[in-house]
Amino acid sequence: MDTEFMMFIKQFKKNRLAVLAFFVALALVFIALLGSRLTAFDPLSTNLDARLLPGFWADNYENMLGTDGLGRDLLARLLYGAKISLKVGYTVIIITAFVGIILGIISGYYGGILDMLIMRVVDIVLAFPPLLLALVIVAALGTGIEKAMLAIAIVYIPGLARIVRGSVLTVKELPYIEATLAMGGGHFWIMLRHVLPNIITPTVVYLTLLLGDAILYTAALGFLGVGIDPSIPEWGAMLSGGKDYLLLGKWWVTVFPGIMIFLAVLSFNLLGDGLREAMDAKLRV
Amino acid sequence: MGKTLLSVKNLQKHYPVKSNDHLFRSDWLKALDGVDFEIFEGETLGLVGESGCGKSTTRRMLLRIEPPTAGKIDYQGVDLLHMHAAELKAYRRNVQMVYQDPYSSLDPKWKVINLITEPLRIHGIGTSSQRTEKAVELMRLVGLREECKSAYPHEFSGGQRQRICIARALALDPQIIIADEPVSALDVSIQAQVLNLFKELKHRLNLTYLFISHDLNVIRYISDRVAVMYLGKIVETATTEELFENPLHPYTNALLKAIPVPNPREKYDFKILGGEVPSPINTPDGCAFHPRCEYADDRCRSELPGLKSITETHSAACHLINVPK
Repeated sequence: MDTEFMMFIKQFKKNRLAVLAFFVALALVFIALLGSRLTAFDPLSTNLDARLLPGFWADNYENMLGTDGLGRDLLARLLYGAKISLKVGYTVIIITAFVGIILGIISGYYGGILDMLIMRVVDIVLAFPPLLLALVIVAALGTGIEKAMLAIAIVYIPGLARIVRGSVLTVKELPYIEATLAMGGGHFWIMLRHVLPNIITPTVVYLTLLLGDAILYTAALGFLGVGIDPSIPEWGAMLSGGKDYLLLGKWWVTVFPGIMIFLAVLSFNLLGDGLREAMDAKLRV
Repeated sequence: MGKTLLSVKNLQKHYPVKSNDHLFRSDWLKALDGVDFEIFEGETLGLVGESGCGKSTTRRMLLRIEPPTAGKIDYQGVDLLHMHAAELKAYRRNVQMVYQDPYSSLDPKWKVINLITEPLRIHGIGTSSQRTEKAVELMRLVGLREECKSAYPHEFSGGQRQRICIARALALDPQIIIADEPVSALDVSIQAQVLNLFKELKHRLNLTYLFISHDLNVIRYISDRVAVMYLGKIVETATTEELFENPLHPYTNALLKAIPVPNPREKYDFKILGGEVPSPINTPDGCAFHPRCEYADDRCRSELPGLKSITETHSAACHLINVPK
């Protein structure tokens, strides 16, 4: 097991970009954990005398990244926002992965009436426009960050279940599945040890694309007033809230949250790529 | 001849297929239409037939991957179809399988050592280190180097992979090994090696084989007894020698004539069987072989021939063979 892990690390190290992404992701997690201690500003306190101040490029070393439309320090909001945005992103991914994979495997592996039932529910959910669906779910459950996360996860679960099911359908017809069954392996054993490892590639691809979407969807829900309270710093909400000032030439209000989302999404995608490669024995040289 | 290990009686498997001219009615594809044979302890039974004649369906029934439509499979006197979970698990421990395609019958994500210990893990045999020890022993037995144990299947050639499959099948010390075309995906030179391995293992471990193949030369080399299948039925069974020296059923005769002779100067009686295998959806009345048989008469067109014993070890399903009194 030890050597297996070492081989994994060795292979992972070969992908320089993935290693870089790993450290960026790690840094973001640190910011999320320690963010509130890294700045003296209160991210919620407004100061109408200091609205839309530019940052260090205009020799404003007090508000390094400038202030937003209500005079709140942008750097402080970004640091605080890391906690919420990453929490939302990763939680949504975990919920979606867990439920989507289980539904997809059950549906594809057992087939028949169970498959029919799950897939029709998936069809129903997919028939709604995603944002509308999330809105309806939040409206039904009530507002709050947990409910918003759940709503976004529900929007993405059907897509993942579909992808997983499709892959399972190909994998389960392969002789090694029958071979395992014939030597006495149970269905649970087969699903966990033979089906799951062989469908992980498309699943990881889907999930790595989800982080950015989840952060932006939270912003959209917040913007519509059903997700997170707009005063709470959250990258997506900051991005969409700042877009009105773009026309006034106050670019920093949107650009910095945008860069943070970009870093989070890109690092996660590259990390996912690297992990997938390192896990896949066939790509090891 | 030893005692009967596995006996198959009137095994049938019909699959529904959508009918072309009826919206709600389905036709039945008769993949197996009454198969009878027995496997005796310590022998190698060769099951031979063209593609689509039901060889692989027989395999699926024998492993109880799917339930048959009708018929009975007895394993040491216990009906396979009425076994409860524990009995079935014990059965699956005693009957192991080697597949045709060594590329897709090994999970690409598993290391060789784990693939070989998997059956032991499924049946909860031994501790982790005992299992590894056993697997290494098996690798040596089938002619794989121990250093390869942490490699993945894609790093091996076809022949080596088939050796891995064999080691896997041997892990549980089975009684019977069902081999479904185990060499037809391999190069000819490798085929001989793997066949010899099968033979050698049989002697060393006292195994019983059901060897499914379409290749008569392979069957002749490995089998003690041969069963010839045509369109979901057994048409002739005999010892290998008898079958190749004195084939009784016209179909067996035609099959044997189709074996190419590796000698360009030899006069070759090029009498190829006319016609095609009838569709298993619309099987002909009477003997299934009659549309292609040059000796067929009226009786063959209307009456289904049963498997008749000609001698103690030789039986055939044909009206035109006279049973010696």
